[in-house]
Amino acid sequence: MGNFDNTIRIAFFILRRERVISAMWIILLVAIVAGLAAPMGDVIEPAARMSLGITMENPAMVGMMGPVYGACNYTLGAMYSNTMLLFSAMAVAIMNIFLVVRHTRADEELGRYEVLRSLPVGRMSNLGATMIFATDLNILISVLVGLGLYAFGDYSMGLNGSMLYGAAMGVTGLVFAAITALFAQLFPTSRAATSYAFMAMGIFYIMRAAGDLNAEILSLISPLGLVLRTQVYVNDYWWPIFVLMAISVVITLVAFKLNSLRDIDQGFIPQRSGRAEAKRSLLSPFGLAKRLLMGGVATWVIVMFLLGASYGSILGDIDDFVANNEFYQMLLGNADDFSFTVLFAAMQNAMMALIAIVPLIIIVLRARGEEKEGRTEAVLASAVKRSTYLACFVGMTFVASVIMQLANTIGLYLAAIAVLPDPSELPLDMLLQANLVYLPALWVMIGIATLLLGASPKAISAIWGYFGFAFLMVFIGRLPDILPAWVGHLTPFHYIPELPMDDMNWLSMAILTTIAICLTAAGFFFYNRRDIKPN
Amino acid sequence: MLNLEVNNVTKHFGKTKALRGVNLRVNEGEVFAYIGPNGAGKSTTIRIMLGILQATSGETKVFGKDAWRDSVEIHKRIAYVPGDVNLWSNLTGGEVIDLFISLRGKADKARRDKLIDAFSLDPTKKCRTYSKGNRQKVALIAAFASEADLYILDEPTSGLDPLMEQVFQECVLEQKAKGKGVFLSSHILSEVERLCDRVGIIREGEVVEAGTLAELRHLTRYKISAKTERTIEGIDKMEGIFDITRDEGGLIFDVERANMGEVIAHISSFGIISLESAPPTLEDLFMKHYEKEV
Ligand SMILES: Nc1ncnc2c1ncn2[C@@H]1O[C@H](COP(=O)(O)OP(=O)(O)OP(=O)(O)O)[C@@H](O)[C@H]1O
Ligand SMILES: [Mg+2]
Repeated sequence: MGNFDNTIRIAFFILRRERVISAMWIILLVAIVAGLAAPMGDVIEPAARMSLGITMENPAMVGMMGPVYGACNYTLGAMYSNTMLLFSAMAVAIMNIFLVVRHTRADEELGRYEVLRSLPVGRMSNLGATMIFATDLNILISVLVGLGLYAFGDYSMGLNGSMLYGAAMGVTGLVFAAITALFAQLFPTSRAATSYAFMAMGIFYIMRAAGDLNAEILSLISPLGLVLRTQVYVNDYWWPIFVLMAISVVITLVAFKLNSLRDIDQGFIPQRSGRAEAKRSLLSPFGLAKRLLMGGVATWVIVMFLLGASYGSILGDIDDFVANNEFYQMLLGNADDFSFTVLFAAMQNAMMALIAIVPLIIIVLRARGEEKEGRTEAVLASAVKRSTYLACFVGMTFVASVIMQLANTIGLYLAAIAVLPDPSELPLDMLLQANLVYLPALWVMIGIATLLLGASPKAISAIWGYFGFAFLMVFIGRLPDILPAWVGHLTPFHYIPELPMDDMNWLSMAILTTIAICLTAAGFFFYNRRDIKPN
Repeated sequence: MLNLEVNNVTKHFGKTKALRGVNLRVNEGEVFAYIGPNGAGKSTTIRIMLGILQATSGETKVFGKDAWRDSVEIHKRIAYVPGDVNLWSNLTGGEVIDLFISLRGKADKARRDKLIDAFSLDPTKKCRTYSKGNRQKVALIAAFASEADLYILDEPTSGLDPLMEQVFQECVLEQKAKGKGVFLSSHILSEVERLCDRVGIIREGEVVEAGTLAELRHLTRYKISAKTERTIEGIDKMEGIFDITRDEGGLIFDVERANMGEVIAHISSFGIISLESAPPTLEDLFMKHYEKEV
């Protein structure tokens, strides 16, 4: 029996299992990547584009998005590949990481692979089939993205460049499929394989950032740096594509070799064993909640800091940029007493507050997730009060909301004083006030989520709908006359004064906070009185 | 003194009537087996006893306190092993054991270590890598290492191997010897037979039988196989006789316990060569209740 018997049949089986998830990825990726070209072209007019090109050359932006090619003739194509290519490629990489783990290590962990292996299939058929499927999927996405971008029809986005853009995405996907296949052999759990693949992506990203800033060689070693050397829509180099292809073939071969050397369920890097006894700090309901939630909260605090810092880093050029862009002027409104820098810094507060809501909702949903998995039942069957248990989760959201807002402001402030010619334009206390003033709105969202958890756990996902609504309102609310005014009044954000343009409004702060407390208390009331059950 | 008192408890999930009036009494220091087919309502009853679910109607008292209102007070004296043991994937087994022990009350480290040893569990592994049986061991160790007056165990051994099943039974017997109560839901009849003082059988949301094993046996039929010198006549007309089969020189049939005496007397008039009577096995006993039509 050969090593690859029945590989093609397994590949078709994977196709069947993947038809929904992969179709969603294809639609999402192609629609976003090919679809964003039009609105970007509309919103950023040629004059604004030139100054954006200059903004993009500042080190913070290069660190984030890669080097600027063709800045002197910053066409729509040049702008598009400069701002979008890296993230498009990383999105495909993420798709491949999940795909490959799903069909290799995860299947093995769940015992499905064992069943498959009991059939007349080769030792390497499953890995082979997975890689064949991944390759086909990446090719398909490359071609569709290429055609989609070409179909947009801007003169700066020709067929060759568009296909190169697609190929750059696809080949990045292939490299990460190969890396993940390798990690799936090395590590004995799907979780470890996934985390290390993501860690590799993070390291490649940082290597590229460092390389693009001052040590080119690092960027050439990192696949994420190399792929940008295609200089899509500027010089259209194809050689990085071939180099990356060769790299992915080599890594894949290594993965196959390791696969043939190891036993089922085994890896080459053993799992670290954990503690045999708990630390004292774990031994309480709050200790448990902290252990479950801390990692996520810490990550989000860092994300909020970095988002603040990246906003802060573009403030130096913002006056030039906005002066040339009517759309942004409309978004920012015309408050004559304030510079665009201040207006822009203020606008980011609403956006950041919206982003900060995401982890808060996730924490409340986690309480529901624990219940669905039957773990809440086990905890509540010990001598823990329901309100104590719930307070651990909800309390964590309130603490997290404050820490995230602070981290965001500090990030913004540190970056801003580094790039602004006159740092006193943005004093820290003004930034803090303008940011923390959003807290009552975050708390109202926590209150609604808690109320849903208590009173109507089945409908708790509706909180995402309300969140989406609030998100739209914050943006559309700035554009005059799209919706009747009262619709915008239905979110807590409407009542938050935008400092420093608006005056501080203590009354609405107090009212929002009271509403938040009442909603949360109602959530506790109902939670204490309902069945704890998975459905 | 009663450990547990369930009076006419019903529980509806939407249209599903999971419990239709359950009545149970469990005495202090008693090992009580709660058995019944899948979906009969065992776990639902247990969750109501724990105040995790609220009964639609009826009254549940544990240690004389109301199961819903005073649940935290009750839980200080209870240790529970759920039917589906789900653990936190990134905590180790040892951490989970310590967590549960401390959430229930004070810890006895020596006892914990002894149990980990007895169940041969590796406490340094993350819970996500544990098999079903190992997850059950974690919950069992956490339960038996806690000082409780009543141990509520919902199918605790469905994933254990025979050796571990033995360890489990010893743990239960040890608690029983200390005068602690155990409420055990189980599908493993040998376990029930070995451990339990009394048995309650639930079917489709109703307790259809409860009592000691001996009492339950009274209610069922014995299997008789008899060989006689002359062919036995007229037995099919007697009361309490079922499933007669004839083989060469003899008869095999079931008889109700109450009719045993007269039947033996009748047979002996045909000149007995050999007579065997077997008490109903536990399986027979339960099958009678498990099957749809009795
Ligand atoms: N949360 C729920 N929502 C709806 N129906 C439920 C719920 N929990 C239990 N049921 C229903 O109630 C009935 C009793 O279920 P229960 O889990 O108590 O059975 P069980 O006796 O423990 O069965 P098993 O031996 O399989 O564990 C079943 O018909 C089940 O479908
Ligand atoms: Mg059950």
